[in-house]
Amino acid sequence: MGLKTAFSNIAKVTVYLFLILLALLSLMPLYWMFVTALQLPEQVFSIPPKFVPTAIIEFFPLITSGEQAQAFFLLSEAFRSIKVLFTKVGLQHWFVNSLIVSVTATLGVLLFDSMAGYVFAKKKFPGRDFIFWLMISTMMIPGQVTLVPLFILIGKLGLKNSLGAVIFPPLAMVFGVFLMRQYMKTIPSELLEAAKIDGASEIAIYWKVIMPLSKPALATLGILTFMAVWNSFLWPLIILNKDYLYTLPVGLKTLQDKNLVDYGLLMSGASISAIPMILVFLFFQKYFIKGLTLGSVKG
Amino acid sequence: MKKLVLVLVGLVFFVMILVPSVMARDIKITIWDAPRWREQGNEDGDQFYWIKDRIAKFEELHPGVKVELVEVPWKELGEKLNIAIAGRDWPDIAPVDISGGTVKLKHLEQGVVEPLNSFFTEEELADFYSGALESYNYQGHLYGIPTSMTVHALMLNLDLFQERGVEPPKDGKWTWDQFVDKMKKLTFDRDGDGEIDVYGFSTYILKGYYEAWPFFLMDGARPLSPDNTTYTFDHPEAISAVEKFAALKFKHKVAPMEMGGADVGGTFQAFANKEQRTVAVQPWASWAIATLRTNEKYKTNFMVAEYPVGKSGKPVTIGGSGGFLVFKQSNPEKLKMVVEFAKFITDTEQQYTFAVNYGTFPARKSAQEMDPFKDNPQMQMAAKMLKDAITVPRHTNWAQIDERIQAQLQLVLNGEKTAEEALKDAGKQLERFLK
Repeated sequence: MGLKTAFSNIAKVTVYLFLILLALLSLMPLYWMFVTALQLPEQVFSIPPKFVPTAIIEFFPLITSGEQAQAFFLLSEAFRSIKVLFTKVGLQHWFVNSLIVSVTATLGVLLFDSMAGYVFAKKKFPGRDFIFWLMISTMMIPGQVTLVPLFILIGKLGLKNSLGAVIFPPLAMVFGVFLMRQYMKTIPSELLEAAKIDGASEIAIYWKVIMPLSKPALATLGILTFMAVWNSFLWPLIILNKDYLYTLPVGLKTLQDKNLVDYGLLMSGASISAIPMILVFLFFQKYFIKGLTLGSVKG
Repeated sequence: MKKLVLVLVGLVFFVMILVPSVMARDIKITIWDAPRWREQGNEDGDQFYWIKDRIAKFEELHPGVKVELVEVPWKELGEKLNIAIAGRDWPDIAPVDISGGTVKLKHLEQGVVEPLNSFFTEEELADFYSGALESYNYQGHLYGIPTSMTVHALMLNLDLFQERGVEPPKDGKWTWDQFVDKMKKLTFDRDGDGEIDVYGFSTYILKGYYEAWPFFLMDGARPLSPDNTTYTFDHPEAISAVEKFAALKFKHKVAPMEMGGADVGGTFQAFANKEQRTVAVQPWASWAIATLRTNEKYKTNFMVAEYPVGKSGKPVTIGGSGGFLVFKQSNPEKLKMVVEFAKFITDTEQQYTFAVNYGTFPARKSAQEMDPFKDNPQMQMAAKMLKDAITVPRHTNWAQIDERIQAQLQLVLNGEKTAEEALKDAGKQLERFLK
């Protein structure tokens, strides 16, 4: 028995070690991004690579040896890119623009796609499946093909050069309709019938029954949409012409030389850009986990 | 009282007549530009400061004119412009050429770009170098104002030459065999650990970039026939040149494994970053000269040399031109002002500024006469090469042709295809673009 427990423990430890290793490996690019953001400019490409920013390694030895001025100079050099982004470049505007666009588009997608998904999953009307599959087929059209018509359409609507031009196009995300419809199909229709018997209106059924039960799907769609809109580059670049309206990815790109890349600046921008996405993921993660335990129908 | 009322009514009429006429005089010009150099001594400064300064001065000189700057990244400028053209919502001025990469010849034929001949006197035109003017000329019309010319050249790290006791090529001239010999001597294991620390040569291959191309042309090859109707890059002189170039990596082993990849930034870092300096010779366009001379991060002890001479018996290099295009205008009054502004940012003084800060050669003789390179031996050497530089073919589908050839060249340098296979395969893909 003791031997069995010992083996079981060793197996557990091995599995955990392996999983920790995998987790560290997958976190490596993210870690490297933060390290590069704080690395001294000339050492970004040093060989062998430095896994801890030089300023951080040398800061405390310099302090203890009484060279405070040199220590703080190194530290200020390490944070140079971040300082530049906040003081000399309109990073704050770009950050706020990205936030407005991503949050609004995500909320819009969750609302419209869940409504459409609900109708396609639970309502019966002539041509329902035909319309649904017709919509799905539009997913096969490459985004580049629709760029010019969309550019003309947005121009005619008078939305060009406004954040609305970036918010509205993703609201009609067919993938979201598909995702919500597939999930909502798994919700037992008996629940909706019970709500109807209790006198709930259509809106009440959608809002009070369907939406709470669809939280895992909504969380997934929310994360995917937020990430897609937050990282979206080409469309905002094309449709926005004023630097104070740029979103983060577009704004950061205008900082790059024609031939040289300031990796410190780029990685500092990317690090700042990554933080909201990490937070969104962490926030929605609990709904993911909750989603795993959902699915059974209480009698 | 009546008089007062009459005066007031008169004033109202006057204002009603005057305001629209003042408003009619208001002109808004939109210019797209991409990041350029930073102000000297301000390494974290705004890379749009030059154009912003020009705009402010122009607006001061022309009350009622408002110039709006759209800041666009270089890499995506073409894509943004192409969609704007397709949506017929183009800017008034943009920093592009008409070589086919961004603005295509068909756009000129469709009237997207304004011909500017009538805005220049003979005397003004005579101030431009003929090569620069030619690059903006199509079917007898001048489409755009050239500001600069560039040329590709080899940059040699003289510290590494000295470390290995290798003599740099005299007057920057060398044959292919001499070049290979020196590259072998410059490839070495500095710390004796059995690994090569410094390579003689490296470069990259990427669509729209031509640093490696003079090597492919050294035996006399050209990508297209002179009338641009036939693909000629599968001729023996092209195959032999590409084979020799690939041999630098696979046979002579004087180039790192990365050579021939698409990493422009990484290639430059390997040459110029003080923490690396792992390559002795690299080809770059002349912008690199300014960077290697003045940028604190990349300051290098270097010289400029010609590409080695192959079977053609003379050195070959590729040059190009830069400038601004004026896009189609419906309002003649606005057109005049747009051209005025385009001239304002491309005058002699500005071209001199470009030359000093941006590593380009002025397109105006008067700017060259200001001697922007008097203390710059590297640019002086590159200027000699500029005289005989050739340009990439001017074909309406050059962007597509270039992309396919470059992809095949990458396969050669990855060791996946022989030069002959790759260049013949490129030819098969190009038939539809050459019709």
